Amino acid sequence: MKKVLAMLLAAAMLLAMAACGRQDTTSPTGQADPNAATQATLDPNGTAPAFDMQTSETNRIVNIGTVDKSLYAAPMLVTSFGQSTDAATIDTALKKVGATYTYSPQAAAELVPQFKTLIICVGASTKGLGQAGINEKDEVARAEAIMAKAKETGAQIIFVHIGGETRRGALSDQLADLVLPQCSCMIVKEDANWDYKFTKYAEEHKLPLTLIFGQKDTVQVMTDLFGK
Amino acid sequence: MKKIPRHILTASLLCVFVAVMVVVLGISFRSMKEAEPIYPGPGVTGQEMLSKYCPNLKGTAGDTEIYILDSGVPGASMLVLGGTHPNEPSGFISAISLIETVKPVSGILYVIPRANASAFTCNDPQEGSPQRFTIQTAGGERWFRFGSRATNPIDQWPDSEVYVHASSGQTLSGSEIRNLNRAYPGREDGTLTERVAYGITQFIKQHNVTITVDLHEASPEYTTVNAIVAHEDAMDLATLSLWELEDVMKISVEASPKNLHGLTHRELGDYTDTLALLMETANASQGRLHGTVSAEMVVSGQDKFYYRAGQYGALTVDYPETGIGMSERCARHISALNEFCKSYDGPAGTIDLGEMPSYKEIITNGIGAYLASPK
Amino acid sequence: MQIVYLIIVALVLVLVVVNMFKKKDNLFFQIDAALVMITLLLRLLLIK
Repeated sequence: MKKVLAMLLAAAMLLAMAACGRQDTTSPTGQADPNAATQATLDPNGTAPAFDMQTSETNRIVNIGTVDKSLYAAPMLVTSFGQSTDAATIDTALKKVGATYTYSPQAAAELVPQFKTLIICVGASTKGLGQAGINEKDEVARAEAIMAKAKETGAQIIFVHIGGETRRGALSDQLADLVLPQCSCMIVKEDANWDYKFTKYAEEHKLPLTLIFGQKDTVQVMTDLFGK
Repeated sequence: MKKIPRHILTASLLCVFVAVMVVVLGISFRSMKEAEPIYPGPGVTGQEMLSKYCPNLKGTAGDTEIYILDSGVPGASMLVLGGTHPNEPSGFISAISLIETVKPVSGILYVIPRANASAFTCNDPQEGSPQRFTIQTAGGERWFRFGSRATNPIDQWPDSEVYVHASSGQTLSGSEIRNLNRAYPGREDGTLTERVAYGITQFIKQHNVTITVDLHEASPEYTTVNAIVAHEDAMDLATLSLWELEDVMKISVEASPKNLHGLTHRELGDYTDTLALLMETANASQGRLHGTVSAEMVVSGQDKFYYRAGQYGALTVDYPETGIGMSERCARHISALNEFCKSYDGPAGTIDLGEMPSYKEIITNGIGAYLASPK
Repeated sequence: MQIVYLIIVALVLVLVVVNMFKKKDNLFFQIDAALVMITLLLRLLLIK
């Protein structure tokens, strides 16, 4: 009896160890990481056309269409939908440019009427959400409220997606789809466009789209938009 | 003659066996107290002990060397912490490479290669880790210890059931009381680990260190890997550096969580004026998916189970069949450190580490090419 | 505090040794005791 019990306990321990090794996208916060989705999971059957990048190390910025800079007046707000650090990147880029703006990654909808231009950086991060003390549902609700208020006030919206392929998970795409219908220009790090989601959207809706190769190219883009 | 009962005989023989095993194992475990040699290079202008900044560390296993590389030209300063977790070897090796090869042209570089010196004297139980690994240099093979994540329990024991972080009141599992990267800003009269953290914090305050970088590794399935973690004050520096680094490597910037206490990137940023950063590279000898951890695997980073896990999409990094080797991991750390220096343009002035190998050069030539030959 | 735990380790060690010598006709028990003694001694001597 004792031997049988000992064997059962050993087997239970072995199974517990094997369970720790299973494929698991749970983040340290205990929530499923919305950014665990990649091209492989968003396109498991590989039906997306083969992806050719237009940008490269030597051709870092590609502008499709012309941006009407006169649309983007002060005061400006930079905020994040998804709480990735991409909004902080835009903050750094704008500081380099010497632009005047307010940086508030968790801005509430009530602030929107104070601003004529919203630069919305889309990219979901479990870590960022956890640090901000926000859950996914609340972040989506905040985004929806901001978009509704922006529609009321007529604020111009610049859509920014510079987190690349890793910021194309389910939540990131959900947040992007909230912003795109109301934006008047798009700035996208090109590897996020692996399924041509952004180029197709820009073409269908005749929106100017700037594709960048790396995050540092945001400095040039921001200089072109807001440089003095 | 009275016959010795059989059970007494076997017990006595077993006692002899025990004594032999204690001697044999004792020699093996004690051998980890021997520190690997570090050969200060032409840039080293001074050396201190951490106990200068926390006298309660003097004579303890927590006291550790601080190497000073003063260019003689006024400017900014950077402190590099290697060996906070001695089972994450690329930070330790990168720190040694700096000590042995770098000659700053402006500013001051401080390096603490064994931030948790006590943790180098043991391995984590039940992990089957090697005690040492070797790296081939131009002049021969060098050995380095592969230690534990936490302070040696014989230096700090017992662990409490719950670890209450002194300055924040945060509660963690009791075993974290020996984790240096949960002890900051530390306490002068605290546990050995807290005293080490206190010493490092005091060093930063007294020398007004401009930038502090803590070098770490993480398992390839972990969410924060191939990343720079930045305190909010250091976010601009991290971002500017990322812009230059992303052309040669996949790397991300993560914000230091405000609600997780005791870590360098949180507490050193909050309690001192330093720009606090932490770096993570991918280490297959950590995590739960690897097979046998041998000395070769520590250096090669090659593990067939991690490769399979990568094929299943279970990892957060690209993991080739050849693994992620020590040279690549050190290349990340060293390139990023150099970039932090180049990108800093604050009021403290400039810090220039002089001629530094590029990321590609370190990978091509191997990290051994940037370590001194054994003497 | 450490001295308290070392005393506890020493006491347990003594109990293990006493029981090992008392146990008749059970070699596996004695082997188990010997294995436990190794770890207790290593801790008592502050080696591991």
